[in-house]
Amino acid sequence: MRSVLEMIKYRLHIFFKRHLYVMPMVVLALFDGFCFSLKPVHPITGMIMLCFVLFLIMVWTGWMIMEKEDPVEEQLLQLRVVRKRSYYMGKCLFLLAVGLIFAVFALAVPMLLSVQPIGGVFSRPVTVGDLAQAFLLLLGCSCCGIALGGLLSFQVMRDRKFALLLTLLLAVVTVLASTLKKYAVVGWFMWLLPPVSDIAEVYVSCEYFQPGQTTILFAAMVFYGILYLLVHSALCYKRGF
Amino acid sequence: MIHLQQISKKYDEKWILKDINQYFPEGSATAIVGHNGCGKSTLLKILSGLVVPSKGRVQYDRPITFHYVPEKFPAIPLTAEQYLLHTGVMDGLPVSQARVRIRELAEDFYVTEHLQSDMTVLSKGTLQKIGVIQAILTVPDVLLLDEPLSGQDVDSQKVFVEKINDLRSRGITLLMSCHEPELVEAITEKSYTIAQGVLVPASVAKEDRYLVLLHWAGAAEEKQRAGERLKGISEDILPYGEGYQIRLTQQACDCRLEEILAQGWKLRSLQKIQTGEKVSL
Ligand SMILES: Nc1ncnc2c1ncn2[C@@H]1O[C@H](COP(=O)(O)OP(=O)(O)OP(=O)(O)O)[C@@H](O)[C@H]1O
Ligand SMILES: [Mg+2]
Repeated sequence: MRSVLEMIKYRLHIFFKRHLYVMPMVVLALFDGFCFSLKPVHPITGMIMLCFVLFLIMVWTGWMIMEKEDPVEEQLLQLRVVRKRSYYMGKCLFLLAVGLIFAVFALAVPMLLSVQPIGGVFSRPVTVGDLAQAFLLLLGCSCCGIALGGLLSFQVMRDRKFALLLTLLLAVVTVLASTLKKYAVVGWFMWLLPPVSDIAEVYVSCEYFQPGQTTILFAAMVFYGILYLLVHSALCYKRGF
Repeated sequence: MIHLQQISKKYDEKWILKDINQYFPEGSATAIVGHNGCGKSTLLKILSGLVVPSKGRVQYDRPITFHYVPEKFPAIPLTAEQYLLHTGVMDGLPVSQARVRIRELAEDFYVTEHLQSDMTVLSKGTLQKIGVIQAILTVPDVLLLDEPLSGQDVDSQKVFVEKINDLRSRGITLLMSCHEPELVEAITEKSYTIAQGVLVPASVAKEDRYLVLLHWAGAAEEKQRAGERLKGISEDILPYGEGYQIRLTQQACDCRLEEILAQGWKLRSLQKIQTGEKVSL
């Protein structure tokens, strides 16, 4: 267990040293700035948009992390633990940790804006409940986003161009799912994708978040995130380097 | 300890390894030699479970820790010390102990001054040494060395041989892919080569030759005759100072040296001049 924890620490260290967080965070900050300068913005609408953007950014981040991986470095890590399973567990937990970091970062701006009402950014006062539930939704989006982005790594799909296109397609379809669902053929495949677009469907005309709905959405998105991570690990485990 | 059962490996429709059956017992030290691209690295990776064979299976007697020196160590964007600390802790050392161990090994391998440099700017040889250090921070069950010496200077090579033989005396199992016959001889006891995908024993031919410097210590009038007799033992003979230098094969050295000394010659130097580089199948 100690090895796995140290492996997560090591991966985070490398992640920051490789500056992989910079571009996604810049884009996220830009969006935060853009979204909350459209005042007055309804807190629910703002958060829904933020969820979608965070999801896409996390797909990108997950993709980048996997692309920048050095196979030999990974091989050395895998041999550091006796069981291959521990190696994959460490990798999955690391991705979830990155998801958590980004969710916190994404929430930071609206949170600051809500405690310091600088000229009424929001059209109504933001409650603690809003923030707490927004955080759950962001975390859910973040987790399933990074897992989807990392799904088609080199070990899983040798054709990188095709993998990139497929990842992009999956990400876009996920975001537009509620519209596309109406077309029967596409609709059948929707269960493969995380219910990110359901956030908009559920909350678009609501005044407040509802804890019950939020929990279901959060659980579903985390479930998909973990499912993708497990599928990815299983494929890598089977194929080796 | 490790049992390869009918291992075959195919890359892009080409069979690199074919139906390899081999048992590597605990404590053995094995070298795998052979041409570039014959599948040495692939075999090491299959042994450790990194690469999944296309056919066959690898069986272990018990859960095994492998440490691995890759043929090309990646330039990781951390300082050497940061990297080694992480790996030390992953291997189960407490941080303080890991720090001490890293210092020791860095000193042994002459890389102390590079510990604080980013690994992306280290020279090839230094990077390879970091690769060796990370593998021997703690004692593994099996040590896999994939061309461990590439680019290292002579002094470090000696340290390396010493360290590895020390580990061998502690019972680790060693598997090495390597091109240097001296290294194969120094740290392994058995060697194999991969020929057309099949693992076959390789004997690094004992064709070593020795340069022997002899001085005449007997009576001066005897010297001429003694020189004639020396020519009977080796045709490869030249005057050297007031004596002779002769070249002998290892075998000739073993059986004739005593005779030469008995004739009244004094041995001044015995030097290995050529190692058998031929690998006979
Ligand atoms: N991931 C891979 N994909 C496709 N082919 C590969 C892969 N890895 C190795 N090969 C091929 O397998 C063969 C054996 O490679 P390997 O690296 O095992 O050789 P080697 O004996 O270690 O050579 P060297 O002495 O140069 O290190 C080579 O022809 C190589 O091109
Ligand atoms: Mg090789």
